[in-house]
Amino acid sequence: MKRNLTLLLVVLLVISCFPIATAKEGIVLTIWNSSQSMLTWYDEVVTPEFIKQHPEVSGVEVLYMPIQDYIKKLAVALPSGDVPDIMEIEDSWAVPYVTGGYFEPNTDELNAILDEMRPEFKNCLSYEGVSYGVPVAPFHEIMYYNLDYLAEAGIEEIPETMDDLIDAAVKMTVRDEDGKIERSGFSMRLGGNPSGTTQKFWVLALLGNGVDIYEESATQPGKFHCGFDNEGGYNALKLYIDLLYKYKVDDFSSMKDTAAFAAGKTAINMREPSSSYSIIENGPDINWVAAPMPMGAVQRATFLITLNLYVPVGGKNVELAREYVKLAASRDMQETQVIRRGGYNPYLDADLKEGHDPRLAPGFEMPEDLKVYTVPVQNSYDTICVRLGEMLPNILQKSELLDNPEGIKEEVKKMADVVNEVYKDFGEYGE
Amino acid sequence: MGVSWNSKKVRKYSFVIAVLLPIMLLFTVIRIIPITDTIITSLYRRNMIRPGKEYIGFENYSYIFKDPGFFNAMSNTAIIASVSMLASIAIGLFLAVEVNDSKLKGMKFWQAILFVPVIVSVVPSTLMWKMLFDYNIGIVNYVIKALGGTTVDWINNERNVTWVVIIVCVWKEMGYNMMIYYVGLKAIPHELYESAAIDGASRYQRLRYITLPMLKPSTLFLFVTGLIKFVKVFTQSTVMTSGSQSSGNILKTIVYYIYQQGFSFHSMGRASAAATVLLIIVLLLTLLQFRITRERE
Repeated sequence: MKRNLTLLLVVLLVISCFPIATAKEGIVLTIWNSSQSMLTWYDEVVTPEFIKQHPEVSGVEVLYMPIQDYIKKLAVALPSGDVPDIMEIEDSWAVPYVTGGYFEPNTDELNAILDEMRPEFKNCLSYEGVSYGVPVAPFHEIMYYNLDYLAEAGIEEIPETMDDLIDAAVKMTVRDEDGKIERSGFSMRLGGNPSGTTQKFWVLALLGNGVDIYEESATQPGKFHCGFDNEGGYNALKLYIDLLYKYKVDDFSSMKDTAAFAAGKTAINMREPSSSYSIIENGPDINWVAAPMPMGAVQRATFLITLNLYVPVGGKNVELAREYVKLAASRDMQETQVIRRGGYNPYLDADLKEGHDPRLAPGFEMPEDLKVYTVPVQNSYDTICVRLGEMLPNILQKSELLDNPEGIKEEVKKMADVVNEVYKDFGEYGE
Repeated sequence: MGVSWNSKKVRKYSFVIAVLLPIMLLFTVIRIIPITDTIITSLYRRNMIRPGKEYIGFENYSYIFKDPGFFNAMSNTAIIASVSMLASIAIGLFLAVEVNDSKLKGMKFWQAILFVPVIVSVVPSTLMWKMLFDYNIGIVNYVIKALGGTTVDWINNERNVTWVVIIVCVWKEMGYNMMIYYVGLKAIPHELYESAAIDGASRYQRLRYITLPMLKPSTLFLFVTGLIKFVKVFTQSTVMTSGSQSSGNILKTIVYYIYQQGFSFHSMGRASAAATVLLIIVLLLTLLQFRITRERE
């Protein structure tokens, strides 16, 4: 009995060492992604249509990885050539791999699609005149307002300018008897993943004050230096310090971001449109509306970032992968992407508000004075964002910076030095 | 006679070498070669995603020793590793002695319960602790407030969150330490305790003069393995402090620093330099510990 059992186990072990032919035959495409909200769109919308068009393909496997794991996997997989057929990557992370030659350039067909989209995409996907990747899930930054709290504070209009926003946030901040914030007036991004911290500071404070993280060198085209070591940078940091210690609309301890908004713990939140789904799910009773970014001290600005599909060099099914990318980026598919994710329709002539929840739709209004920024094609850019994002929480904890122009200037200088140091490190610095 | 002794010796060592060879080969492939490669890489400017490398001597070391982020990571790691190691050993010993001495029924069950954290996955358990210590919805602050105290921002303050990470590390490790000590306690001859009892030794004296000296090998083992384990802390600190719903910085540890330099900034030279520094620290600590124990023996 014992011998038979041992024999059976050995046989099973030997069999398990050999791949068993699956009943399903045909090509299986693989996609790596790091955005959970895209999964059902691939599986339920794009893939069934793709299989209909390409019967030789039996399936498309989408492998989801949390972002930190994905970044690690990219760094290891691309150089070693162990790649899937398609990779979905946010433009800012993709740049070092684009410039490193790890992705196939776009075909004429893919470029034709890109030509029909907003020109910003082409700018951030092009390197040395060649385009790589196609946007399939763009998003921009908008504001979320709790209408009940606005009404409670006697505010009838959605804040149009940064000053209006501050005024409303002050009125809507609620504290308990100990002075602890129970409800923040405006949920500020004060830490967490560093690049996200920088991203929020960039769009709200720097761009609103008319400066960017970088400036192209006047004498060395294609080289850069810090763009905020100036009055705009000073005003940007001062804005954050004032919000925290003068207007006191938020602090480090209060509940943050979409979770806070959905729980009614903040009155205003700045986020991408896709977070509306989380608000609807987790805060069904919240009476909210979205709106474009307010007018800053110098300009009204937002960013436009996108998840793109890239075909890596060394993929097993390059032609089919390109076909899949073409389908995913097509007008029909983008219309469904917009509805399912609260996304931004990348096509130039698209009605951006179409298909959205009526509360979210105002966030897709693009006022004429709204300036749209994209991330630059720089190898150093993500490193800069991480380094700045690590500095900001430490700087913002210094309450002594309130009404301290010299102190703020000193901190701005330190941040600028880090930006320039990273540019030098990557060989991208120019005076 | 001499020839016979030599052939015996040769036979004996041939057998030893033959037995050890496979494991030595494996060890060379998975340990010696990567460590050597890391040390060599630390002398080069090498981008993880770009081909080629440039010899730059000790420039990577010079960079990391000037980087405040590296020292911040070193100091956080030193605090977490030393306190977690000592606390988990002390609590593990206490639990093992209690479980061993207890005459109560059902101790095996409690022993199993205490061991559960060891087998629970790090990420979900850290997230659970993160919720417990949350400023707004955490039960810890709820209890503090109920007792009339002032609530504490555990997660968003670097100093506070260091202690929360230590608690998670100790919670995760104490069950394992308890089991090692429990096995060690079972190996102590009972006659020693009986003789001590006849001589009128108190419970403390029995612990001090019998249990602790007899458990010295277990303690050394836990000291060294615990320190090495905690010096490599990464998941607990990163999960506890990352995410857009958090404020403040990610609590940097030395492994996070290595990870960030390598996988986020793609600088394999700097990551390797930091890894080499970590290797030297762990080696020195281990050698020091072995020396102390040998001297005491």
